[in-house]
Parts: sequence; structure tokens; C-alpha cells
Amino acid sequence: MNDTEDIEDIEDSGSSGEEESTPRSWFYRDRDVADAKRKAMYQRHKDRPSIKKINEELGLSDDLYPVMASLEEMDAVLEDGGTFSDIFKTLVYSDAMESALAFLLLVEEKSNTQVKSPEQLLKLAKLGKKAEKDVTSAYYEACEFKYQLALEKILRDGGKYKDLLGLNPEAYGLPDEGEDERKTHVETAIVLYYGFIETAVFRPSVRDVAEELEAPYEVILKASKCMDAKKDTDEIYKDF
Amino acid sequence: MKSTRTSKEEFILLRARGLSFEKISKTLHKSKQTLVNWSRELEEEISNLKSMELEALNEEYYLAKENKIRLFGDLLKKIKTELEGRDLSDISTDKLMDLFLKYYAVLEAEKADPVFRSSEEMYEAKSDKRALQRLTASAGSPGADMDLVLEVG
Repeated sequence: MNDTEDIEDIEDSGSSGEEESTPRSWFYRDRDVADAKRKAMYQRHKDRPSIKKINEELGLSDDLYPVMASLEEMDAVLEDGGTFSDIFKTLVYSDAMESALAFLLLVEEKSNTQVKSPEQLLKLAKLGKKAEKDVTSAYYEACEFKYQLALEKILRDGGKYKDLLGLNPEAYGLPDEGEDERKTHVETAIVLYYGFIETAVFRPSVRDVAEELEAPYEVILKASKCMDAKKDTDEIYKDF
Repeated sequence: MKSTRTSKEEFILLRARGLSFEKISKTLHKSKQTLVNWSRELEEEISNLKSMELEALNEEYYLAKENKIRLFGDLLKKIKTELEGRDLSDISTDKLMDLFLKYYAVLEAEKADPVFRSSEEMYEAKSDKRALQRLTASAGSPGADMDLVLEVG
């Protein structure tokens, strides 16, 4: 059975192995379909050089799937005779980091070169001087994304807070802007990895995370409250 | 570079429905970092849509006052008609009477006495409302209280 049949099979049934049709079964069916689609996407891309390399270096993060999805859209443009310029204009978004990384990986893959600067990216992608500002921005977004994936890998491998702080952003093409900036990146990685962005009831215990990471309690406490300043949208549900 | 308008609209919708970042990430093929940035940028839009979703839920699950009065009133009418045709020696009349009193109490609780105003009273009410709005808008500005006292006086 191929992956498409897998997905259709799950969509047709109530859920994997379940006949019932309840909100619970819908939840599992949706989750199974999404997972099967991701699995299929990974199968399609696991051998392409850019994904293989990033997977070997940084592991298979959940956040790598959006990059693969972006790459698929970009591949389609190239297959239709489009250029890097066409892709940059239509599929690289100023507010979606994964599209910036996908573009960088695509250019590296097609030119068989590791891009080390925004100027190099501009040149390899044959984008005009007009696009310099946007390309620079996209380049650093892509670098930041890679740096976040590297921090996530440390967390997945059981690394501690000091290991996270020890990861040099310069190794991922970002300027090292000092300890405070590095702490901000590390906090973001912790927030995303431990799900502190989700609704309060689904968040882990601050103390447990601090102990696990051997991190100062106040650092994790601050990270855990990152979404609270904007919490008033959730407040609506409080008394409901 | 353009921004991802369509995906953002979908994001607002899914977030307002209470879906987790993880699930939205899988649905929209966007990284969690991107979604967190969007969440901060689109906070007001999400909040608005959440309120609308809540309002729709309220409408669906809690009957509006008007509907409640209609529903209980109809029931009360049916019970009354039935009671009128009953022989009071009938044992189940007690139960029917009990129902009548219960629904009557419910309807009383829902009753809203209509208020009719003369055009003069309406004019006064509107003037008071406008004065109150001005007071709220200019709260804190020097002399605001005095202006109002002069106008009301």
C-alpha cells in the first residue's frame, strides 16, 4: 500500500482501527491523516540533498515539514520553467521563516554551493540589486530558523541550559550580538520545544522544566509567560 | 516580498476556534515560530473572531429571551386549555396544575415590562445619554466636569 492509499484509508475510516464517530474519533482521524501526510512528504524528500543534509545535521524536527511543503511549491515553479526570481517574488514570504529557509536550501541544492552570505545568495539566485534588502532579510530569517532547529536538537538530545547557551549563532550564519540576544534565542527554543505557547492547561510544570534543563527557575518562569502578556484572548473563555 | 495573507486568515479562524499551535502548524504547514509571530501580530483579530464564535455558541445553546417567552408562553397556553377541559376530580389534574404554576413562574421571571415614553421623555433620555458619552470621552480633561454641570444645569 502506498502513502496516498494510507491517507485515503484513514480518511475513509472513522479513525485508525476505530469505527465510532465522535469528536474523539474525529480528533484521532485528523491527527492520523496529518501524520500520514507528513510521513508521505518526508518519503518524497528524504533523499534530496538539502533535506538529507539538514536532517543529518539537525535531525527531523516537526518544523522541517513546513520547509518541505514550501520546497514542493518551489519545485513546481521550477518544473513549469520558472526562475529563482519568480519563486522569490511569489513564494518567499516576509513573515514565514520556513519559506526563507526553503529558498536558501533550494538555491544551495541547485547551485551545489553552500551559501555563506546574503550577497552570495543574491548572486547565485540571479536576483537584481533591487532585491538586495529583501534577500538579506530572507537570508537571516533562514539562518535564524536553522539556529532554532539546532537549539531544538540539543533539547531533543537531552542537552542542558548551558549547552543551549554554548551554541554559537555565528555557526549558523547569524551575527553574535552578545549574551542577551543569545539568551533570547535560547528562551524561544525552550518555549517552542516545551509547548509554553499553548493554552495554560497544556503547559508543563515550570519547576520540572527548570530541573530537567538545570536552568535558573526565573529564566524558565519568564519563558513560560511569553504568551501571557497577550493572554486576554483566552480570558474570554475563562468564565464560559 | 509579500506577506502570507491567505494563510493568516486561516490561522485567525483556527486560533479563534481554539486549535493548538501544534495542530495549526500541521494543518497550514507553517513553523511554530512563524505562528507565534502571527499570533502576536493578529491578536486583536483573533480576539474579535473568538467573541463572534462565542456569540454564535450562545445563540445556539442558550435561547434568546424573546424565544424563551414564546416557548414558555405556548406551553402555558396548552396546559391552560387542557386544564379547562379537565374534571377536577381527575387525579392527574394535580400534576397538570403543578406544571401550570411552574411555567407561570418561569414566564413571570422572563417577563419584561414594556416601557413607552413620550417624545419629550425620549428627547431627555437622549440628551442625558449624549452628556454621559461626552463625560466619558473627555474624562480627565480639565474643566470637563464644569462643562457638564453647565449643560445639565
